[in-house]
Amino acid sequence: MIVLGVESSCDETAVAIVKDGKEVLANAVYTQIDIHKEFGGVIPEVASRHHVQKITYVFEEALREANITPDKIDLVAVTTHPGLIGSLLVGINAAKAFAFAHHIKYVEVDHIVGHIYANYIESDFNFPMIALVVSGGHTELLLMKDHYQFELLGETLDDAVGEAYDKVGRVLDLEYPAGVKVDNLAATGEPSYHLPVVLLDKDSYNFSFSGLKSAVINTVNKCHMKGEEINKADLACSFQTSVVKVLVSKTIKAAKEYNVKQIVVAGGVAANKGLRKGLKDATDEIPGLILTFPKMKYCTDNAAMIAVAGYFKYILSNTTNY
Amino acid sequence: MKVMILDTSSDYLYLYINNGSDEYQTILEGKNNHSEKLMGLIEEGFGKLKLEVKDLDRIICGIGPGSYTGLRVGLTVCKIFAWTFKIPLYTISSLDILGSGYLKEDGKYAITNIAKKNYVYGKIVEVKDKEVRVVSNDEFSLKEEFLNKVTTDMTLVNEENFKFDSEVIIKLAKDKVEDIHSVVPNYLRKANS
Repeated sequence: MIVLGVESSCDETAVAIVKDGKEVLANAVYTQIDIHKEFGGVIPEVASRHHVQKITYVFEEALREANITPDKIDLVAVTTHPGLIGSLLVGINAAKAFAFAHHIKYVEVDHIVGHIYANYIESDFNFPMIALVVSGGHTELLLMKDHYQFELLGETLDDAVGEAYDKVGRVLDLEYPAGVKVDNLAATGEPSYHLPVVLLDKDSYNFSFSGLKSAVINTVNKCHMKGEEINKADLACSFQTSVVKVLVSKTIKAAKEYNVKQIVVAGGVAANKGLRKGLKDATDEIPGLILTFPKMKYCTDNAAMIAVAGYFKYILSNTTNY
Repeated sequence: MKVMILDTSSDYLYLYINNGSDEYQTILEGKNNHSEKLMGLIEEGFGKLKLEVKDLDRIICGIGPGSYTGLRVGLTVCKIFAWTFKIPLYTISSLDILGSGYLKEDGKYAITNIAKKNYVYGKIVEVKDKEVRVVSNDEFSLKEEFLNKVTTDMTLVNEENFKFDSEVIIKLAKDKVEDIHSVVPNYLRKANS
């Protein structure tokens, strides 16, 4: 089955074509990062305008890359939520129009589910498994007992982890999007600053990052007031160490409690080298536990993950009408 | 000629399709929900006319000004249809569409569509011997300022009395899009204004 996926929930306009939920035939992405850099974040109206400007280009690029004609496509899958509503509507209407015009079946996909299914491109799923979703908009820990069966174990009570990275990056004078830059800077420093590791209640799988973020901002402000120089690499390393400790400890605790066979990590922060190392070190100590990350290009928003998630949603008979 | 006309710039979703002999037309009032209704109506229209999208000879899209989100919804659908089957795409001012039902009769018409609070999109046209001449082009103005330009010899067209006429729209839609990819709505305002 060949699935065309469409993703436009934030600042990436993306169309991908994937065969049987596994083989990526095309992965076209137009990113607006350079446009939003000057604002230090995504401006929803600007993002929506760029989506409508690029949408047919990206469709065309995907079809060309896959060397395929619309009549060979069996299913259209599109992100419908969560995301910026103005941006989502461009992708949704483009997907519906394309599906209708070519008499192709159509299915709606949750963006978060898409991120989880980005892992399926790399590895089959071994249930039960834990999915750690970490991005600029989401931080969630989910238990999956089978395809499309999700049990929310915990989520952030305030800032998403990627959002905390961007805000910390801003006080460290790093350009938006700051996640990769904080990660790279952290690799060159030592965790010499004392920052909180917020685990909340010991039985809770929820997260909180606003206190940690505020602690970084306060540290910077205090240094400025005292005229002291900040060791940015050490502060980035201290911040990342706290974040990784929280994410790893809760994920491993859940993996043990539910006796899972696999952990999958999803979302933009899944590209974080510190998190990858922290989780690998922890899972290496648990025999038989499989740890999977998407390839770097499938960590950030893309439509291949939507096509894969749509494929599974369709074979579980959850198609929808226009 | 098989034509589809679509305008989603206002609270009224206007869709017209013909298959060369029969017509389908719908004018649906809604608030911020054109996206939910649009494809269902398109499916109904093409179904009733036993017409395929690929068989259209022309697509005419209201390009704005008007609701930002509404414009994107309509134009996205038109762009996909036009691009995927290489169907000629024509754009027309949404204000011309909203007032098209009046533009068969000689006279002056001030056509407005609601923008944000106290503001309107507006234009003034004159019809003489069935020819439509633009007196003042599409603008974004304070409602009061625009209404000051409306003289007693003009008919004011607004959300209370929009009237649609497919024949007039087809006649007025002369702007053929050369590059379907790059066509964008006529917002008349910057993204942060």
